[in-house]
Amino acid sequence: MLIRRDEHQIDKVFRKKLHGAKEEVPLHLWEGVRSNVERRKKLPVLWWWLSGAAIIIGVVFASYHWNDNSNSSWTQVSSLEEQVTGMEPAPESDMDNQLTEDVVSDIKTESTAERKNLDDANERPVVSSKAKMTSNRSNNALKTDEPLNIATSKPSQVHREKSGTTTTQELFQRVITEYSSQEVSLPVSAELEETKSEPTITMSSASMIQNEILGGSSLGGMNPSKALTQHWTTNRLMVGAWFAQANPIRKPANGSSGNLIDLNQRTKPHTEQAMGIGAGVRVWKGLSVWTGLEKSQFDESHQWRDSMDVNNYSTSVNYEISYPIDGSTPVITAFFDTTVTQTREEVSKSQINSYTSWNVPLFLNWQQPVFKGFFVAAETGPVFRVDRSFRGSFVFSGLAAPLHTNLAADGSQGSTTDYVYLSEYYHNWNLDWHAGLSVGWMSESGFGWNVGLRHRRMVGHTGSENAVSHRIQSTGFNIGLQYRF
Amino acid sequence: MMVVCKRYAGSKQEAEDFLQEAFIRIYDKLHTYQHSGSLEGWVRRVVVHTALNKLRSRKYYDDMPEDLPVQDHTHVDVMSEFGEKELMKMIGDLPAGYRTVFNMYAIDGYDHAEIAEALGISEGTSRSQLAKARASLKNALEQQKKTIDRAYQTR
Repeated sequence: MLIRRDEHQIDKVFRKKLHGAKEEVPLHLWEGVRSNVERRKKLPVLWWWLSGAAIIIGVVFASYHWNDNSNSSWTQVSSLEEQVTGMEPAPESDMDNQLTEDVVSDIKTESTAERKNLDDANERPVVSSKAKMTSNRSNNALKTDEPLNIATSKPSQVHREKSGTTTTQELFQRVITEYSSQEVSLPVSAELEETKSEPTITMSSASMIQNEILGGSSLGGMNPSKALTQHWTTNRLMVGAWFAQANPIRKPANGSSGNLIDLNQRTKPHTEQAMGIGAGVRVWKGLSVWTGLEKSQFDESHQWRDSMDVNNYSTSVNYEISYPIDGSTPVITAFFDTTVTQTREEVSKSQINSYTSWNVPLFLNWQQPVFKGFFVAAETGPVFRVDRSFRGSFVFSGLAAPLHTNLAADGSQGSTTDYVYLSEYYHNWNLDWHAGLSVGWMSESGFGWNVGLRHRRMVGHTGSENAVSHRIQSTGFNIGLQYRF
Repeated sequence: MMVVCKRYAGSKQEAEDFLQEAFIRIYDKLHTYQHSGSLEGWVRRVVVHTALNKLRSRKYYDDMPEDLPVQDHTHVDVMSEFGEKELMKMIGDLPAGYRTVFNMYAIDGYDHAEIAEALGISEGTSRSQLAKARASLKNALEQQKKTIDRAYQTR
């Protein structure tokens, strides 16, 4: 043990009493280590599958979205087509901001250099205590293709190897043996494996309860979730930001008669974009409650057929010739007779309607740590949505044609780029339902990211008085950043 | 190693968290063991570093003031009257900064330069924290001694 020349009396006594102090390791802790090690062996595979699936789904949605936006032509339904010239793309608003910040945590790696002056207990052989242990082990070689029973295989002299020939399996076996008192089965990790088989190190070291380092422990009453529980007991407050892009599917709920039903079915959602910030409080283990504020924009391609009267003009010319009595040149007088016939023709019109909303989510989120800071998460809960503004054309029951939102009082039409703030005609408050799955990574410093899929069942933005009343299922992906306090 | 973790942690639960994390880290890092010293010493260092990392992530050291070292020439002759449990409790009652520096310096043998590097503080801060830790421990010891003495007198 290191003795400093200028050692303080308090230091001396505390070191004397506490440096060699031993205490049993709690039983559940070994089970936590075991479950963690086993999970590490299994979940990288799951992680890669989930990542691959998320990427594939993201690509599919992105390509779908691309195709959907690029395919702007609509089928002409009549001989006369009138394209509304005010058709404009979704506005490039702050929804386009991408959260691209990569937060990388700096995890310090322990130095493996030996501290020479740490203490003399570290340096001295541990023969004294190990001598009490029974050893049936004939050699140090670990047979990795079969379980190794270390119960009675405690080396009589742990620190005798300095040659560097000791395998990592043996080292880990030695470490575990030092700290265990009953049987523990730990799969050897990939880093420790030297064969392709999956050996299991089985330890039974009841005789090692009084070992030099820990004072030993006994196993029993294991709590498989203890390891995770330990991690979940900290970092209770989280903040996050997310960006989501979704491709909704519209489910018409009702419609009015005739033309409006058809119109209803021709309203096709395009995209939903949302970005928001939020905070969560961890309430139990991996369970947290999240809320926040989100701004979303929902675009729909809106096409309708409309009937309009078309005037067909036919003009006939009648000539009247007058022959003067005096034999002079005849006078020819033309009479034009115009006949107007009115016919009714169908026209196809299209427009992109955009809705903007403020959303307040209230989610229950479960985060399950899986591997080296990676986690999988699932969340669900209601989203309170306040529709804020709209631009485009609405179709009301009883109207023959869609009503543009920015019609002036005199009936003239304003700019199609103007948003109109929703009022009594529409549902200002809606309750949607959200569910999401994601994978992510969290550093020890608390910064992390997540990417995943989200699904929302939404009430249509327009009220029941509108012909285009519907429910929407919006599925897409989201990316987010988190920071845990 | 459980005692090591308890010395650094603020609670038993936190100590278990440290130790479990340390064992997992040992499992991951064992191939880096160089055989140049005792395995126990290496394991002990990993445990201490794991505890420090966990504590650092909780920002216990951000607000460590750098004060002048407290001069303390106390000669404590009552130590032998206290057992391991009492001493552990006294350490556990110290603020996180005092506790960590005292553990590293007085018990685990780190010097101030190493402590400063490990905790991201200055050497002066390390010295100051150590002196304050000693002063706090001295007061705790004296209070405990008085309590014990009173208990004997009332018998």
